[in-house]
Formats: sequence, C-alpha cells, structure tokens
Amino acid sequence: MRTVHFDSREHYQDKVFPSPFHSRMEALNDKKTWGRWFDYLSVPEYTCSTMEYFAGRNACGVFDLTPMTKHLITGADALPFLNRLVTREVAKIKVGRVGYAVWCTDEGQVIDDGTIFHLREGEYRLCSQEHQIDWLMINSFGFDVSIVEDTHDVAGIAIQGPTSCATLKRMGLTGVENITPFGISHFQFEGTELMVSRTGFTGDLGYELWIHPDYAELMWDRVFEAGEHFNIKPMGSDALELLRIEAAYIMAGEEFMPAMQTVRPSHTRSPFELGLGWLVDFKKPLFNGRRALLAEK
Amino acid sequence: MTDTTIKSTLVIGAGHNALVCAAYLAKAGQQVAVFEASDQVGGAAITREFTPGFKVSAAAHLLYLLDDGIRKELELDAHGLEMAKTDMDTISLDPDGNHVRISGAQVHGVSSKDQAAMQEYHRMMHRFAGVIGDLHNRIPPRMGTTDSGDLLALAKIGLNIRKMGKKDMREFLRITGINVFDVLQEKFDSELLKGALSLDGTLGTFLGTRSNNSVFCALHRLSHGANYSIPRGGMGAVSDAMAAAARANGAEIHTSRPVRKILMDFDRVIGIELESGEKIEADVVVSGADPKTTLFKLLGPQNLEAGFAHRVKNIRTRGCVAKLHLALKSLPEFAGLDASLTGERLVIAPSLQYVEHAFNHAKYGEHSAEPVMEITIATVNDDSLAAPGQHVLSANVQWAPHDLKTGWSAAKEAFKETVIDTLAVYAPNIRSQILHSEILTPQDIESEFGMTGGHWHHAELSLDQAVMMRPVPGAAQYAAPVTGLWMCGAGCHPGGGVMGSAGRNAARAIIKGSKA
Repeated sequence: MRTVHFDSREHYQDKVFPSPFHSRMEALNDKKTWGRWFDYLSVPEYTCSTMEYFAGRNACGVFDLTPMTKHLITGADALPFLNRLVTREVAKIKVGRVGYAVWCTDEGQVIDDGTIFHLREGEYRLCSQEHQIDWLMINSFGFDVSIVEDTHDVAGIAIQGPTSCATLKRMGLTGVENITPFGISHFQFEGTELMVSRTGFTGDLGYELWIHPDYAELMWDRVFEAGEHFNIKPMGSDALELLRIEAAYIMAGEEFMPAMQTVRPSHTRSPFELGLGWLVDFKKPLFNGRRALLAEK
Repeated sequence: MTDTTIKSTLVIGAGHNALVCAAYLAKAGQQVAVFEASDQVGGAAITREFTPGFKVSAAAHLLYLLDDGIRKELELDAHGLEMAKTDMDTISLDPDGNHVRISGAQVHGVSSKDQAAMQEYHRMMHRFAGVIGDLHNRIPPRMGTTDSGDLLALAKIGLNIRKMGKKDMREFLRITGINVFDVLQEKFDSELLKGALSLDGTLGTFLGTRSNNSVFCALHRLSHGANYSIPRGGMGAVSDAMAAAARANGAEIHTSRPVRKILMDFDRVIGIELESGEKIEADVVVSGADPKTTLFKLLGPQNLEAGFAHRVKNIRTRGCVAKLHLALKSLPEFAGLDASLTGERLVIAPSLQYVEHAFNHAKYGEHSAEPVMEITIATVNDDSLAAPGQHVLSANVQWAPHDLKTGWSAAKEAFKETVIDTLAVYAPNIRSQILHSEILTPQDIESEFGMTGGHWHHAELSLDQAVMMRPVPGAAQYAAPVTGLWMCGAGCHPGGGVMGSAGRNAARAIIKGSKA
C-alpha cells in the first residue's frame, strides 16, 4: 500500500517512511537493522550480505528499489525536453525500451545518471539516484511538458540473478523470457498493471518490477512463492553494492560527486572523465553542457 | 577574391546602442543591415509628436551619459547633433517656494554647512563615478579564467580603486554597495537637497532611497559628469545623428521591418526571419533588444542550455517609471521659481522620506500616492518642439510598477490625475494650461519600445547584474552562448541611459571575435 501521504498538514513530522514492502521486509530482516534511503527505511543486510550477494549471482535476489527517485515526463515536448537535458540521443530509445543516460550542468559536469523508460508514445519515466525535481523544473522552461515526481506512487523491486527469469515465468508472467535487455513489457496482475523491465544494477540477468503500491505486498508474496524452487532470497543494499561494483556500474555520491552538491569546483566530473564518453552525442545540436564538452574534447 | 574577415551582420532593432554598434561595425568594413520594428530609429531615444503641434522626447528626455569618445569617433555633431542646452541645474522644488538649486558642486538655498558638504560630496561622488565610468568603455573581463587579457583587466579595476588613496578607497568600498539614504543622511541637513540627490540613485530603478545598490546606481548616473543636456529636436536628434553616422559608414537601416525570430541551423545562428516572413541570412546577428526579448522571444529558451536560460529568466526587469507628457498653452509658473529657471531639470523629491514613501507603494504593487518626478520643459530651450509660446512638459514619474496589482487599464487615468495633482502643488495653475496630456505606464513603454518590463535599463542596474554579471555570467562579453549571436543593448554592460557604450563595446567584441 501507499505508505507516504502528504495530505496531512503534519506530514513533514514523519522523517522516514516504511516502504510499501515493509511488512514483508521486516519479517525477513533477521538482523533487525534498518538503513535510510532518502524518504524510506531500507535494509542494508537481511541475514548475511555474502549469502545475499551469492543469491544475486547464482540464484536470484530481491531488492526493494521503491526509494529510487522516479519522474513521469509527458507532454508534446517530452522528447525535446529530455534531449536538451541528457547528453545522449533520446529519440533512439524507442517505445518499450530503456536507456541509460547522464545529464550535466552547462559546464559539462555530471549532475546525475539514471535510466529513461520510454513507457508509451511520448511518455517517459526518468529514474535517478539523486532528487532532481528542481533541476527538471528549471529545465522545463520553454517546453510543453509535464513533470511529476512519482517516487511514492510506484512500488518497485529488482529481481536479479540467473533464476530470475524462471521465477517470473513460474509466477505466471508468460512471455517474460522474450523481453530483451533494456526492454519493457506490461502484464496484468490481479487486476492491475505490472510493468517488467529487463534492467538492473548487477550486470547479471535480472528484471525490475513496477506496480501500484497497493499491490506491492501481494506481488512480493507471489514472487517469493514462485522463487522458492529457485533459491530466491531478499537482498540488502550491502550485497547490491558488491554486485554493482563488480559490474563496474557507477553511482552518484560514490564514483562521482553530483555537480549540484559539489562545493569545490575541481571535485566535479565530466562524462569523459567517468568513461561515459559513449553517452555524449555531439550529433545533437544542443544539450546542457554541449559547448563545454566540445571544448573539453 | 573574398576577404574572410568581412562579415555580413544583421542588427535587430535601431535603438541608440544598436545604431552605435552598427556604425562601428560598418566603419570596420563589415556589411551591416539594421532591422527596426518602429517607423523611426532610436528605440527609447526618440522624438515624436504626441498631439498635433507638440513633439516630445517620448522615453529618455535628458542626455547626460553619452560617451564623448563615441560622439567624436562617429562625428555625431557633423551628422546633425546639436545641443539646445547643456550644464542644466537641478532644482529641488519646494511646496513653499524655497527651492534648492544644485549647479554642479554649488548649491543655492541651503546652509553654508550644506554648501561646504556639497563641495566634498560632489568631489567624492564624481571621483568614484569616474572609477565606475572607466569600466564603461571596456569589454568586461571574465571571471575564473587564466586569460592574460582578463587578468590584466581585473588587475586594472583593482589598481584604479587602489590609486584613489587610502581614504577615498575605503570610502568607495564602504558606500558603493549601500543606500543613498544612509550616505546623504550622514552628509547633509537640507531635506530638499537630500531628496533631489537621492534621485540619482533611484530614478529608473526598483530601488527606494533605503534600498542597497542605490549608491551604485547614483555612481552610474554620475559616471560621465552628470552634464544634463537637451539636444535640439529632442532625444530623437541623438538617434538620427547615430543613424546618419551608421549610414555614412555604409550600414543599411530598414525601419518598419519587425523581426519575428532568430534563425538557427544545427547549433548556430544563421540569420533572422521578419514578421513579413522574409528570411535573411548572415554571418553574425546582433540584437539591440533586451536579453529576455532576444533570448526568449526571438531565439527561444529551448535553444539555450538550461542553466543559462534559468539565469536569464531570473534577470530582474521590473520597470517602474511612468512618463507624463503635457502640451501646454503657455509656460507653467512654479511658485517661487524665476521663469528663467523653468528650463532647468526640475525635481519633485522634497525629502528622503517623501521619496522612500513613494517607493513603498511599489513594493506592494501599487503606484505612489505622492509620486516623485523629474521634469523637463524642453521648449524653454528648444523652439523646434512646439509653436512659439506653447510648451511641452515631460516628466519621469515614479513609482509606477509594471505589474500593478489592480492592473493598469482601470488605474491609468486616475494615476495621471494623481500626477497632475502632484504637479499642481508646485505649479498651481497648470491644469488650466493643459491642452493635451498623455501618460505612458511601464506597460505602455514595454509595448511601444519593446523593452521587457518597460525597464529603462533592460535589466535592473545593481551590483549583482553589473559588469561581468550583466546581463548574466556567460553572456557578459556580448556573445550569447550560441555561435553567431551577439547582444549590444542596455541589458549588457554598462547598462542603460543614452550612452552608446554597450553598442560600441559589442562592436569591438564582434570585430575581435571575427578575427579570432
């Protein structure tokens, strides 16, 4: 269920919220230790991070990614808006596809990285590590675009590892095996829509499942029922950290300092310095940082 | 054989800065064509007939900042510029007729203590203004570079301040960022004197006497010696001379040809499209329009990087000066003022409190109940504007915020009456002399002259929007961050007032850029 409510005037007194999966996570959280990921309680380690890591590599591990910042971007100018925002060509991300992207300041320094989901024609979801709504609103000036941060309206889990596909098939998601890397598919689940994307942060076979928070617990239960035969395990953020470093995936605040939060000018990084030059497309006439990056090149 | 350094240049608008820029570019051998929306050149430095038989300087009505170098280099005098009056006194009108007359460092009608203080104040302010004025003819250096030219220019600014000596430098650093109220309160007793001097820092700005930055605005106003003058034929004569100079150097000037948009090809500007639909290509496009009009209306924020567009969006452009024009059947009589002095610069600012109270309204979206006025009756000195015996009164009136809370359509006529009532306190018979009256609100000024917010300076003059931060960092060297597009209007360093320096600096930057 939806666990973050802003309708009450006192909402600001709640400093951290339970995830829509909280009841299930709590039951599995042997170490009874909680961390904080932005607005939500998050589990660093359920039982043993080493075992959780191996579940991710040899079977499948389930990670709550609800706290990840999500934005729904729609409107006639959604594509030109995103193309000015990020360094890559967004037109190449077709409907039903996901693309990795970075975005920069005018000075060509990386603000954050994330994924762009092309949900439907002209409708995009931008997932980012950091909160980006202010920068996105600044970027929206002059564009016919609607930007909604819907972090709290979408519950998400990552199910990562070699048995993830088998688990989802057993769960009844027929045809899930046909989703190619960075592909998206929509399924019916108990009367609601379940979106599955073949994405992840481990470099292994894996999927991310996106659903309305009201269905979060039910979905979690179905995933774990289906995965029982495939050695499914909940996975904490410590294990994910190992997995993503092995896969050489970078993270804001760790491998680079987000430019907007960096105090010393020399501590920011350009996409080229981060090995992300392949994401910079100078064939686009304009994107934030283009002039600076051309000069750097 | 083609000379690659000769560029074809399109200039958007024929305001005075655009004309100066066009003239310098043409002089340097570039092919220049100017496109102006109005049917006459000059932008906000024009003379127009506001009722049959009466002509007035419709926006700017005094000349005091025009750069001498530009006047000489463009031979404006040879192109028809002639002064009807120079070295005008400022008269601070008193409701009881005990007016104070300021004539340079001399002041009449105040105590000997104030007279002595005025000598020192005048010396100090003009010295400080000289330091500011020295910056006006330079392309602002960029911050944070290792370019030797930039570093040298920054060092020169520091050196100029240091060269003032310990006492003046300390005073310069102390007062430049603060407000005229505090500074004048320290120096003088006479309220009429303080009120009039406070206008140096507050006319044309969204600042009251107690607003910081008002001393900086005063220094801007005094930067060319504050020799208040009236050109023969009104301010339009200045623009006409500039246009003649531009044409003499080979520039084409097209009036009644409004520009619809700036055209781009991939990542660079390639020309303009006129409202008529005609497209014209060029190597370089220079805009004399204000930064928001140039970058948002003509180019489009979608064609700019987001951080830059955001900075431009945040430029403060809240115009707050209304303009009153009166056609009078005879010379108005100001109580206690000798008729021979009615041709001077008359101000209604009887005390610092009066000025501050007038400003207070603007903060809350209202116009002043008792406005501040700067009045000129140019016909006293120039017989070309109206029939003999008849007169034209022109007044800057503030504060009249662009975004009036109640909207201007309903309030405009009532405000005009308020302004005339205020005038009648000092010139009791004025109502019976009026043949025709007109008031331009900042919204009228915006639509007539195409200036965002109806702001004189295209962008508020203040330290955070000055020199290398004018209009915004990233465009302070006259080049927009889009290849091929330049700006030369008052929104650029050094700002507004009929000065021409922004136009000349921009031309220099463009010429330098085309050689690079």
